[in-house]
Amino acid sequence: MTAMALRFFYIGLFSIGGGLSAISLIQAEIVDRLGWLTAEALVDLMAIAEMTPGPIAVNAASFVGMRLHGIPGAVTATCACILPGCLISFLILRANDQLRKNHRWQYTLKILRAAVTGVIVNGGAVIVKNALCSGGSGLVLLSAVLFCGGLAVYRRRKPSPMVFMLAMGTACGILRLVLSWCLA
Amino acid sequence: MGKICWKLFTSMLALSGLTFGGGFVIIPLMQRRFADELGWLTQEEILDMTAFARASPGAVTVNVAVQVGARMAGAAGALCGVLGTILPPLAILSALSLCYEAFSASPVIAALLYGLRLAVAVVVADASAAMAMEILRGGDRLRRAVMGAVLLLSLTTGIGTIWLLAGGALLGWLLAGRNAS
Repeated sequence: MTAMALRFFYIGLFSIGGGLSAISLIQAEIVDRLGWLTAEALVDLMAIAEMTPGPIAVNAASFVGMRLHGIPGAVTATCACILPGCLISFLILRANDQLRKNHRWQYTLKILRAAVTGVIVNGGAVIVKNALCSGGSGLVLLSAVLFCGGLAVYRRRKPSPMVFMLAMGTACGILRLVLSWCLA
Repeated sequence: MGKICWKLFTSMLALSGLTFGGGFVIIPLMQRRFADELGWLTQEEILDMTAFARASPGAVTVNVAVQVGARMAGAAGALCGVLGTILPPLAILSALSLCYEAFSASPVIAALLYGLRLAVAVVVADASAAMAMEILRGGDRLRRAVMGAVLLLSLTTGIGTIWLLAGGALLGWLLAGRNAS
């Protein structure tokens, strides 16, 4: 269990740049070196991570930890995996407070915010594209109509995002289920 | 403070439990929740935290949650933010590791996931468009150009976001010197 915690701490420490780098580290460490997970299970895991909420590294740690040591394993692996990132980003936030009065740092942040926004908008575009294509090629048109309709309702009524996601998600899910029964 | 911690925990629990896709998807929603709805932080502060989270290793969402928590309620807040963020995936993945085959084969689950993905896409599209409009309306020419260039590069090339952000920071650092003199 300690060995597993150390492994996931290491993965958490060196997965800089997001989900994909975490996956390649898991591939190298957990699959190739230690054999705690088969290559097939890793592909499954990536598919599950696509389907479920949450960061992929947390998903992988919970999945592997559960398989190896049950619930204590899942909790340990997950905590070990997120610890380095939490500590380092906390320290950067502290450093930022120290630098608050520095003109040059202020200006750097201003430009950096524009860059972050660009990255976030790109992330949004990818999410929309994946959502429209995820139902298979036969459903793209229906998905697009549902997406546009949902967007119109969302913008006009301005409901709470949480309530909206649950309501629209369930409604579209039921619609698709009914459709697939009718067509079958 | 207990109230803040509880609000933080439940907010992150709901956001993390519903936000499919990982990474940056959740940031516009956190902005909406913590800046617009609760008024705890400004939009700029959350963007800064996102940049710091990206510069750190690990998952962006968790790293932003820890910073929001620390800023609002110290160590207890950081803990509550992180717990709320990791509990949903921890519970879901632990359960799934036991019954993955049944889950992935179920047509009901597939239909629900399809619907949820569409709904999340609507909310995320709206939120990220609002963020882009903020820069387009309020920013100067340089900031608009930086945002456009980063968006274009990440849409069309495989350059990692960490490098795009590092480039943006470097540009700001260099131009700040010129601006001051």
